This record gives sequence, structure tokens and C-alpha cells, in this order.
Amino acid sequence: MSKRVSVGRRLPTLIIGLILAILLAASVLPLAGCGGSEESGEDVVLKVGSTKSYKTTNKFSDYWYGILSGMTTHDSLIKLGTDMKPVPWLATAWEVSADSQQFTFTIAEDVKWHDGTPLTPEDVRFSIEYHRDKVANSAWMKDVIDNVQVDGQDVILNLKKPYGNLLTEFMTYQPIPKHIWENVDDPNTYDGEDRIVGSGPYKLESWDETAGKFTFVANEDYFQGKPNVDKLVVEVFKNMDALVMALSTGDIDTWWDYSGEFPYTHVPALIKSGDIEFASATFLGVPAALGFNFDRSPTDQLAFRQAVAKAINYTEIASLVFYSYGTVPTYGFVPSTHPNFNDSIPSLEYDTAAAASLLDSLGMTDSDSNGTRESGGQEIVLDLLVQNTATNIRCSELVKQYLEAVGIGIHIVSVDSSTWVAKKDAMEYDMVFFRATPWGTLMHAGEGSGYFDSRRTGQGVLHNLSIQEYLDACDARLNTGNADEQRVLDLQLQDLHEEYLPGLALVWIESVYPYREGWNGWVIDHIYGGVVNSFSWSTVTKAGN
Amino acid sequence: MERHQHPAAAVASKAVRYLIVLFVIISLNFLLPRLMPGDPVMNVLGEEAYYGSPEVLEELKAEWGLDGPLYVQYFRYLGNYLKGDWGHSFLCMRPVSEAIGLHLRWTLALVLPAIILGALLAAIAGALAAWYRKSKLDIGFSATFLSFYSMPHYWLAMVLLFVFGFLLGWFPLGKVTSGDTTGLAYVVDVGWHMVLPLGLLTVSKAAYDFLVVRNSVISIYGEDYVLMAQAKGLSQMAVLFKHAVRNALAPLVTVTAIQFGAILSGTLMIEIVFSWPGMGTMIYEAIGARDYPVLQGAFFIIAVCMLVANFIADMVYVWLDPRTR
Amino acid sequence: MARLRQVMQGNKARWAGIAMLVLFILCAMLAPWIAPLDPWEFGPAFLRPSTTNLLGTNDVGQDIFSELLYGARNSLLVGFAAALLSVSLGAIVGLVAGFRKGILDDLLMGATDVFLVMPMLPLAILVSVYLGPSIWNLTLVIGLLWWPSTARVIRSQVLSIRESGYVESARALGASDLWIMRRHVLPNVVPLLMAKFVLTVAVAMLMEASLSFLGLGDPIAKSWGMMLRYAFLRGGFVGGLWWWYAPPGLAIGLCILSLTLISFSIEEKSDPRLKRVLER
Repeated sequence: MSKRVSVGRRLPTLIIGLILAILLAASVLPLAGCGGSEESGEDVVLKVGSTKSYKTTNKFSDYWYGILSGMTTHDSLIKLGTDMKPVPWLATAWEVSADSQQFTFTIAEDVKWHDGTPLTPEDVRFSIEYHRDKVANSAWMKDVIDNVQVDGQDVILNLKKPYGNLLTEFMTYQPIPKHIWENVDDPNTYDGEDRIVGSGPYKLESWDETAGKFTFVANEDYFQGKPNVDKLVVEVFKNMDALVMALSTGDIDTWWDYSGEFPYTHVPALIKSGDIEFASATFLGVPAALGFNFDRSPTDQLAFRQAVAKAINYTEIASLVFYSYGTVPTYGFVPSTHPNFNDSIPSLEYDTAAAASLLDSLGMTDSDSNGTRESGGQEIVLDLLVQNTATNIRCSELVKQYLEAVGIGIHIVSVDSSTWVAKKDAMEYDMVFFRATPWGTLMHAGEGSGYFDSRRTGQGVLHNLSIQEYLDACDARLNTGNADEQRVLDLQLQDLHEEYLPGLALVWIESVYPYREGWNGWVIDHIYGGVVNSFSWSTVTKAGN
Repeated sequence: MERHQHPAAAVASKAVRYLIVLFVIISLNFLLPRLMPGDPVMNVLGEEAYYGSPEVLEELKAEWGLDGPLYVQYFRYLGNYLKGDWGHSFLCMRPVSEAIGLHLRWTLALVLPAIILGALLAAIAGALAAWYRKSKLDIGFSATFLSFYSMPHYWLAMVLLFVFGFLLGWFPLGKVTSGDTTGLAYVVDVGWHMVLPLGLLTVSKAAYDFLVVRNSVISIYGEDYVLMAQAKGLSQMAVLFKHAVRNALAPLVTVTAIQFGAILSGTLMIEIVFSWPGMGTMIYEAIGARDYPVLQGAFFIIAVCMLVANFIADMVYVWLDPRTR
Repeated sequence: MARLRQVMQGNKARWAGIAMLVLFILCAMLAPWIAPLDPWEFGPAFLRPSTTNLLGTNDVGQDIFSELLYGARNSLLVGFAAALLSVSLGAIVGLVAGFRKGILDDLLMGATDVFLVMPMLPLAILVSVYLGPSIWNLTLVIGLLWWPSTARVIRSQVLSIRESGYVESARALGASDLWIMRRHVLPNVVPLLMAKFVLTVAVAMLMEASLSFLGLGDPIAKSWGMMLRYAFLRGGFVGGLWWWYAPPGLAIGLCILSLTLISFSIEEKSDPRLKRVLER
């Protein structure tokens, strides 16, 4: 009996223990919230939702913050204008020598870093050399830039070889303050508070990693004038569903993801919510494309690639997966909004009879009548390497059906992005499903060549085409800074793309950018993709403010 | 069971066993992430980055300790762990211990209260259901908890978020805080964000515990000391909570300990749905980015938590179970 | 999970469980004949439920009701195959460890200890990434990771049988291990394995649903987890299309429920000592 009595006494102790444990658990909550200053109520606040994974506010080690900072806290020398031509920014003027080996940028005067220090041409010179020498993903500069000199307000780049695409490349690099970075040997691990200092229209006020929230405040001293939006809040969501819900309940005003396409599947929900409007523009990149492996048979044969091109029902992809926001591409890969778009190249055409006769002509016939053709007695079943995002898989499902309809077996290899890169670089595929970002279509010699030139390497690129004629055209384009010569070569590159068909655009799209009713005057930036960008800061207004 | 041994010897032999298990786990933690195809270096460079010269890649690898043959990396890793150095996250660009600290507390902030509240809820509901078994109350409780136990939790999470967060607007659409608050307002804000995920976890934990408690209580129903207590005129409730529930505590603690690791990593799906910055989302992102140091650290800490939970459960079991006293 | 048996003591619950499971299995087996439409056939997207499309159509116009029927095939297949694999593995390890005490036992139990403290879902994700997506790899992952708890239970059961008087005396009479195994151990262990098997089917189905939801399943194969993935990523939830996101979730839930009810009834019939073993 005595045992039971002691039990009875112990029970309250246990309950107290449990309560203590709850309190303990509550104390685990980090109590250090992020202090935000009181707002005066009249400030124009723009809340932007994003689904990218931001980790730190170091623009060098955090890819996504690097891009975000490029349109908020930092300025590039030049930017790609809405007319697809370079426009002045930190550089008020620039000049390219006849041999494309010397580039001169005239830096704007009276620009200040956020800490009040003047931004000088010396800062620009330092930044270029710093990127070249210390920043891993700018390593290309080592091959190109010999030295950088300062002459008054001019910064002069002397190159090791002609490089006609330097202006495009420089649209994505932003100068950094020399007085902060000159003693930093490893930019990736630098965690000084001043690493966020730039010259841009916004200053980073806070980054609350737990809340997933950036708060930027307008730079009163911005050299182009204080931006219209006083406070910019970027809210980070882990998934698109939560973001769209927040957009339709009014928690955020618009959406921004670098070079991302707003999912069309979520448009109806936003339309239903009533106060969301949509801006739209032709997407400069290619959201869905097929690449071919030139090291494997039968994708190394041009006729086979052409047969694949004819077997695909582009109209159906455009309407089924892209809900009629899609259009049928041409054989030239890059969309019609590209500066030197080659309009003599024919559109892709769905023609199964033509595909079948091309395959027949290659001796690929279905002699055992099982629905799949054979080549040299081997059934043709090709590996289609795909990153496992929902849109990619949906597209590949369609492609599989189309190709199987003409007797080409398809095995979809659906993998995560890291595996995709590894298999893609090891050439472990017959066909690969990929996408080209807007900036990606401009990189290297432009016109998508950055994805196909076999001498390139990089996370998103295929480097599958090594035909000399194409490589020569790329070199010629890289070597000239002359606009007329560039145009001729751009057209030629697209022709060559049609001729060799290293890749196949499956669709071109009209991108939609949702924003809350009452906000007007957005500018759409092709590189950063969307209404949220450096140009909009000085034009966007909110009704009632 | 080792209970017949001298307690100190039992503890010592357990400790040795745990240490061996821990060593095997540390080694597996090194090996397993490296099985996955893909290269962490390329992930950090970003989608449009130009790999450029191979030397640059080599430099980065050396900087991150990914250079040299695998066995050299392994011994370097073992050495670092002995020194208490868990390495540097490739993805978060900060020490792994810091990254884990940040995420672990948010998972614990969900899991600990869920375990305790779930156990309490289960203890009360289970005891009542057992006492009044075959009544409408019992059937109602059993059916409800069993349904909860059966539904995929991430699906329930999405439905809850859609209904209570979106349609009704009562709760936030995920995350742990809206930011911009301090002090008490911050605690209230976090509490408000916790309601849905914590509620879900609590009920799902209770669903499991409920069955355990109910069964334990039923098993002592009719035992002498219970009958005697009743005969002594103690009220139904007093008998129930003094004797019956107490009897159910031992198995409850065991079950909780066994489940602890599963709960700790099993919140992954719920964390993804609620944008909760816990261990689950951290591990998930680290797998995607091939962030080996974070995976090693996270798996290690979970294993340690599990071992400690098991150890405590064993001790508490001995303490609680009348048969072992 | 071993404890509901008295609640559901009546045959009603057991039969309800069996009936539900049989219904799901029939749906799975007869899917090609009873599905009104080809679930891979594309068409007009986001249709509301109608007489043609009982549950409407998904984001690429596939018939959701037919998807649900075909989905039962892969979800159940993975569930049963993975459970078979994991319970067989667990049984072998448990029997061997229980019979051969000593180093082999220590090694095997050490291995189960290691597995039991590893975080299962992250581990499953990691191994799935390594193996690549297919129904069979998914089965393999789940089967290979879920054996330890079975092994432990079987081992302790074998130990308790070994030490029982009748086995001791059989041994003294010169009975071989094999004979003891067949005569005394297996009959005692089989019901336990059955209960474990049914519960593991449930666990495996949930795991399949999670891994498929994360995109680690075969993208072409229809499964309930895969349906939920698309409903989540392609606007089903945010659009309030309940006929798309609710049925797969409920189907998984009902399947698990039926399996749980069945496992209780198996336990109820088997050795009463089972209860104590399962508790641990």
C-alpha cells in the first residue's frame, strides 16, 4: 500500500515537471526578434514575395541574394534597356575600340556608397580586378581582362583578346566599395556588417532569416534620385502555393523570382481574388527545350534530330502545359524579342508523316511491329534526362507520347538538379530537357550559343556542339564590338542553329507578372525577369500616395 | 534485459554500446551523402556560372575540404569531429553548428510541446475512453484518433493551411514569425504562427499515444488494487487518475522515446508545407545542394538525440514501472 | 500501435477493415477495366466533376477518377512489396540473431541499433536520390530501411521461446535447431510477423506518398502521392479544387485505416504474450 501512496504524491510532481518542460520548450524560442523601426504611415511600402532560397546577405556566396542585391543595393555599369540595347547606369558613356580589345567606361560623378564615401573610378577598377582575381564565378575574366586603368572619370579595360560581348557580361556585375573589400581575401566567407554596402537605390535595413524577410529602405542620396517606393520588403516563401495565397489575401503586393516564370496554373486563383492585375511580356529565354547528345547514336545524326523536331506537337504543348500563353518557336531557338532575331528561319512544325519518313530513311523501321523502331536490330529507346520539377515532367510526358507515336521509345530519367548537372556534364543521356534563362540566351556569343558551344562549361549549359563552323561563328561574334558585324553574325548563329539543331525550343512564352491593383507604372526588365527591377523604382506609383 | 545486472555495470555496457553505434553512424554520415550523384561546388556557383578553368574548381574544393582521396577526407573529417569541429556549410556559408543551432531550436519549439501536449491529451482521452469503454465517448475518441493516425500528415497540413490560413484567414500562411516584432509581441506572433503546425503535430502524436494509454488502462481494469481503491470509496475519477493513468505512463514514455527521432525528422513534410525553418527543411535543402557538412552534422545530432532519448526512456521506465522497483 | 484491440473487439471493425482493403485491391487490379478513361490521355485541363469526368480533370486534362484507380495499383504495390521485403529481412535477421547468440547476434543487433537511430525520412530521400526514380527503387529503399524494428521484435520473441521449458527439454532430447525452429519458433512467430507485415504496409504506403510528393517517385507512374504532388505544385490547393487534392489524400488515409484495423484483429487472435513484445 505504501507504494501506492507515494505514487499518489508523485503525480502532482510529475504534472509540475511537465509544465516546467513546456516552459523549457517555450524558452527554446529565440527571443531576439528583429527590430523594425516605426513607420510614419505615409511611406510607400512595396511587399514582394519570392520563393528562392536565400541564406546570407553576402552577394558573393549567396547566388540568390547576389541577384537581389543587383537590383536593390548595387548598381551595374550598364543595364539592358527595355529596347534590348545597353543603357547607361553607373557608366554614363562607354566606348569600344575598333579591335574590341579596349573598353572605356565613363563613370558618373557624385555617386556615393551607402556609407557616404564617394564612388570613384578607382572603386570600379578595383571591383573589376577583384571579380577577376577572387570571385569564382567570374573566372572567365582571367582569360579576357589583361589590365584595368583609371583616367579621370574613365575606366579603361585592356583585354588579352577581342571580346565583343563584354558589354552584355557587364550588365550583371556590380562595383563594390574598395575601402571595404580591399582587405578581404575570401569574399565567400566575409561576414562583416559592411558587406551589404552598395551604391544602389536601396539600402538593406534588415534580413530576418527566421521570418524570411528582407527590408530595404530607399537611398535618399541615390544619384538618379530617390526611388518612388520608400520601403521594399521581400518576403521569402518555401513554396509557390503559400506565396500565391499571400498574394491573393493581400499580404504581399507582387511576385519576383529571377528569370522565373510565374506558374500559369496559379493564375485562375489570383483572378478569382479580384484585385490582382497582370503585366505581361514575351519571355526572353526558353522555358522548355530539348538538347541532343552528339556523342551518342542516333542523336548524333542530323536527320534523326530533325525527325524528333517534326514529331513534336508544339501547339499542344503551348496550350496544355502553358495554357495558351505559349507560342510555337522557330528552328532558331531564341525568341523573337531578341535584338537580332532572324525572322527568315521557319517555325517548327508538327508533321508526323515527315518524321516517319526521315526515320525510315535512316533505316530505322519497326520490323517486329511492336510500335518501337529498331536500328541495326536494336530497339530505339532513348534516355530523356529531366530535372524533376512539375512543369518539366509534364512537358516530358508529352514529349514521350509524341516520340513514341512515331516509334521512338523514351525512358524519362527524372532527377534532382544536382544529379541533372552531374549526368549532363558526364554526357549520360540521349536527350536532355533544359531551359535557357533570359541572360543565358545572351551569354557567350549570344543567341543561345552559351548553352551549345562545346568549349563552354557551366551548371546550366549543354556544351554539346563542336562543329567547327559553329565554333568559328561564335569566335567571330565574340571578337567584334561592331554593331553591324554583330548583327550579321547573330543572324548566322541562328541559321547555324537551324542547320545543326543542337537543341530544340519546345515553346516560347508570354510571361505574366501579377501585381496588386493600384500599383501603376511598372517597367518590365528582361534580364531580371518581371515588374520588380531597377527601372520600376523610379516609375512605379501607388494609387492614393 | 540488463536489469538483473548491477546498475552501474548496466549503464557502462550501454554506454559502450552507444559509443560504438555512434562511431558507425559518424562513418555512415560521411559516406551516405557522397553516394548521391552531383557536385556541391557546382551548386554554389549558380545556374549561369561559367565553370571556367579547372583550377578554380580545384581551389574551391580544397577550400571546402573536398580535395584528395576519399579516405584522406574521411580521416580529416573524423579528426575534425573529435575536435568538435563540424565543418562549414557550403550552402549557408556558415559553420554547421551555427546552422543546426538555428534550425534545431525551431524544430524543438514544435516537437517538444507537441510531445508533451500530445501525451497529456492522450492520457486524458485514453483514460476516459478506457474507463467508459464501449460507450459513445470511447467510440468517438477512438474513431477520431484513429482517423488522424491514418491520414497523411502533410496532406492534412495542406488542407489546414488552405482552410484556416487562406479561406478563413485565422492563421498565417506558414513561417514562424512575421518579423518586425520584439519582446512580448514577438512571442505572441510566434505563438500565432505555431497554432496550426503545433495543433497538427500534437493531435497526430496524441493519436498514437491514445491507443497506448487506453490499452494500458484497460489492462489494469479489474486488478486487485484498483478494485480495492474503489471499495474504499474513492471516486471513479480519483481511482482512474491515481492508478490507471500512472500505470500507462511507463509505456507512454517508451513509445515517445522510440518515436523521438522519427518525430524530429518526420516533421520534414510538415515543415515544407508550413515554410517552417526547422531541421527538416534544412536537411531537405542540404540534400538538394549536396551540402555534405550539414547532412553529416544533422544526422549526427539526430542520432545523439535519439540515443539520449532512449537512454532517458530506459531510466525513466525503471523509475516508473512498479514491477521493476 | 498494438493496442486498439479491445476497442475494435467486435468483428465489425475487422470486417470493415478487410472490406475496405479488398475494395482497394479490387480497384487496383481491375483498374484497366473499370477506369472510365485512360489516365495518361491529355485533354482540357481543370474541368470540374461531371458525368464524363467523375472527379474532373487535372492540370493537363487527365481524368482524376481514372488516375485514382490506377494510382491504387502503384501505391498498394509499393506498400505490399516493400513490407514483404522489410518483414522478410527483419524476420531473417531476428531469427538468426535470436538463435545464434554471440558475435553474430551482437553484430546484427548493432546494425539494428544503428538503423533505429538514423532519421528515416531524410535517409530515404537520400537513398532515393542515389538510386534514381522508379517504383522498384522506391520499394527497395523502403524495404531496406524498415526492417530493424521487425528484427528486434522477432529476436526477443525467439529468445523468450528458446528459454521456455519445452524447448529446453526438446533440446535436451537432441532436437536439431532446424527442428526446434520449425516446431516451436515459427508457429509462435508467424502471427507476430503477420501483424508486423500489415502495419509495415501502412508505413510503406505513407512513405511512398511522401517520397512521391517530393518528386522522388517514377514521374510517369500514377500513384496517390504523385497526384498530391501535382495538386500542390500545379494549383490544386490554392485554386480550391477539392475534387483534385482531397481524393488521393482520403484514399491513402482509408487504406491505412483499413490496414490498422486488420492488424489489430490479427494481434487479437494471436498469442497473448505478443502484447508485451509489441509494447517494447
